[in-house]
Amino acid sequence: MKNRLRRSPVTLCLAFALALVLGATSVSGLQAPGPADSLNILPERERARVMDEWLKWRLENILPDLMRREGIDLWLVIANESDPGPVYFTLMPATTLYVVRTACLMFHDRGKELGVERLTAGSSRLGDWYKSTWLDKKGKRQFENLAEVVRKLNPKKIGILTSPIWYFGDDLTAGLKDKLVAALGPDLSKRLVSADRLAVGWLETRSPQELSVYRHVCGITHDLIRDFFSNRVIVPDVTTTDDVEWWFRQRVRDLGLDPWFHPGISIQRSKADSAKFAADDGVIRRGDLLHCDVGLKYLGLHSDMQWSAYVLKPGETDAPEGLKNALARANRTAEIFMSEFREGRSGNEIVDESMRKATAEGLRPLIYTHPIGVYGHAAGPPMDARAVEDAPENTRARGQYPLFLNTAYSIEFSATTRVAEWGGQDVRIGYEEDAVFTAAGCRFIDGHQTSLLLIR
Amino acid sequence: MRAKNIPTLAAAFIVLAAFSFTLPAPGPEGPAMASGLKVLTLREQADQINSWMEARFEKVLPALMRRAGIDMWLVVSREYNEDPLYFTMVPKPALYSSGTVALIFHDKGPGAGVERLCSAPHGVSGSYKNIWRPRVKTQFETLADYIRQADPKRIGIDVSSIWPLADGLTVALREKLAAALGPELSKRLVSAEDLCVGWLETRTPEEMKTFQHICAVAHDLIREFFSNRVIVPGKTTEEDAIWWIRQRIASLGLEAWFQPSIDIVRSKKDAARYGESTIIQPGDLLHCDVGIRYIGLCTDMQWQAYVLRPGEKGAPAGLQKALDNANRVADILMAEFKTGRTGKEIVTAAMDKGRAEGLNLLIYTHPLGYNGHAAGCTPDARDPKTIDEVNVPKWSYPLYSDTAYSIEFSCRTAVPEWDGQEVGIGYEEDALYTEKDGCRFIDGRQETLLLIR
Repeated sequence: MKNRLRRSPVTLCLAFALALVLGATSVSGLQAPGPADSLNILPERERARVMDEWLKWRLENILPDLMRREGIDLWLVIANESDPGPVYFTLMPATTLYVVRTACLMFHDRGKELGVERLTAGSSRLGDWYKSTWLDKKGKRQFENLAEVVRKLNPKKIGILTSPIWYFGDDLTAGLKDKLVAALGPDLSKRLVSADRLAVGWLETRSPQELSVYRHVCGITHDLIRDFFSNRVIVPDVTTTDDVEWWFRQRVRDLGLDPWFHPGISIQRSKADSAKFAADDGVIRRGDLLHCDVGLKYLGLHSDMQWSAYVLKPGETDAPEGLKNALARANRTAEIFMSEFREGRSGNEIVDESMRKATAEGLRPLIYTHPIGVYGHAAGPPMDARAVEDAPENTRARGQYPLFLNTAYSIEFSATTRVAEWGGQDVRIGYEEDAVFTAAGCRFIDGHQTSLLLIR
Repeated sequence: MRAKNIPTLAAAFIVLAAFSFTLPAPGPEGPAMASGLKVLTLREQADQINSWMEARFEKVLPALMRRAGIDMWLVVSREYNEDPLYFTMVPKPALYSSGTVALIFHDKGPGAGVERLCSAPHGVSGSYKNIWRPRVKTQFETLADYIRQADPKRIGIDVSSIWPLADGLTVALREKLAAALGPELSKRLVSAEDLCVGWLETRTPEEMKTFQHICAVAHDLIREFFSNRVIVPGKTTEEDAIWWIRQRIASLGLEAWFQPSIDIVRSKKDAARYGESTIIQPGDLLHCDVGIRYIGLCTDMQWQAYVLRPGEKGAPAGLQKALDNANRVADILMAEFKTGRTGKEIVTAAMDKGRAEGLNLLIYTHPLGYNGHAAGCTPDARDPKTIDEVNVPKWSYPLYSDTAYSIEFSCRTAVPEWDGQEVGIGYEEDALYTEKDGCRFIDGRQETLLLIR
């Protein structure tokens, strides 16, 4: 073997090339495709370049319309070092990894002709992104200078990030607001208004570039799900749900991606099998229906998905029909729900109508869908039919917010089905798949799970 | 043509193979530095952090609450806008808070200790008893009821005009809290800023022990990129090296808490030759500023490397002398660390002594811990007018034992080989202060310039 290698590197190369060609053929041919998106992840430097291009476009094309929609002609985004709040980094180039001292970004809408001017009253120079206004650092204190600039711009409405109902839009700390009001004085302070809807609009609106690349982000997540819900990671009767969870965490990290929540792997088991095994050792057994809840962040975009897999019993070649039916009913629920998405409709209206229709068809759904994008549980209208005490706070209040175009959602719900093969036991499919809402309606970003993954 | 293609193909495969070799492919034992030093897997890091946290609640928190005179502490924040302290108090693998969460620490006195409670829609991992069970009233009504019944004297909240890290409460949450408590109880609300700083800055013996491993990983990283492994003089730019570092940090499962920087310091003669180019050239003195977050703790370091000219075996003696002078400044500064002294007192004494020895120095040292620019004693000699005014009150905070610092300053030295040009060494190395051992470097420091051929 050694000799051969030494003698003919050319042959070896040709063999490699052949293998590559064959590999490519099998991918484009009849066999199921292997992972593709997860093998094509950009290095950090390229990511920063891409994200900065996106940000520039967003600042120039999305922000002005939103400021006018909300009637805010000056928007202040103030952040403390080490406490940036949810909005600040979404307005800064990708190499900004923390807040230097106290940051203060200012967006001044000078009307359609002149556009939105971007200023900073912070201590760092931010190049073409934000024009510095605090030039005389020896002569003026930071907030003194900030108040002077505001006075000179003389805006009608000064938007600040405080909000009783949105997490996003309640960035400003109590300490910083006190300081701002003291600096502005009573007259200018009267013009302070909550910019929460502006913040929500900024976070939820996706640019054409983001909508395009979101497919790739979801593709990576799908690749990873197919990786861990397979015999590559799971050995039935040996592997625990904890092992799979940490496999995912480590894999996401090794790929240089961010998990935005700790993954969850859970087991549903027939009562007959449950009686056989220790209740909570977490070991994956044959005949189990596995459920995952995983998500990641890449290029500033989040994914959030729940898929299901079945662990074959000895001799089985497919999942029981009853479990397949449970997934089919979940997919039908998604279809009904997504066809209710219409521009201007509130999240509450969409979810209420979908629940009514799906229930009328005999499905047993419980919908708790949330916006997704720059965050996982993101800004925008939640569509949540859970009892008030089970839902996040202010869900119905935020659910009054209308549906806007070019926004993304994690289509999340549970659908319950009786499974004959499990002695008529109720099986709950926890379903989650990422979708976008555009002028063409609501559609899945990278498809969805139509059949159970199988583990041998 | 074809015959030529094959070696090209072979070269392509070699490149591919080399590339895939540098790609992270850690087995179950996790990633490692080029030196062989192990880097903990995420799961191992989580276990480590959680065991520290439990000990911190038992050993650190009660004493700090009593020192601050706060018998009830509320840390209230929301999903995606968590209080800067939140993840130091909720065990891994928490990556975000679910809804609005109030963490409640109730000091029942030396006998009974500090009780940990929370008011949270879905509870909080760790030993927090959720008081919002069953959900009869709203979250804040329930919280107010609990506080009224516990009847604390001073209720600490995270509002601070001095420390950003202790200013986690938002406007809307403060209003909500005050409304629920009513005017009488609201009078007992006080700033918990000293308590926040104490919690963040105090390191347990276990944390101090592992901090050496964390700094060793950071030092190995510097040795990796300040070498011919990454830098080809005449070709590699500052930006190339910076992004190599970012990529390496990501691959190792570490976190860059700021964008690293690489700067070229060049003799005037060479500067005239190379202009504004950021390509690293022979004869350059290179400076880096790099920090990671690993096992929950941050590092922040500035080291120097020299790029040998053809035929050179070592750096010019003048440049090594510049580094020696900087190391002398560090010795002087660290000897001034004494419990109870303020940052201002430490830095004034050190600046005076350094100047008296003829050193041309400017000190701007900061605390280090869960955050890179952390909260605590801040020996900073810069003109307050050139920096954010909020820094000034920080300088009055005293030095406590069992805390960590980034010993950071600049020191300028005239270099004869560079025609007497003044060369500034930007120096930064991580240190621990304990009352018993004084201030000492966690994993040593740079004594000689790294060399790049």
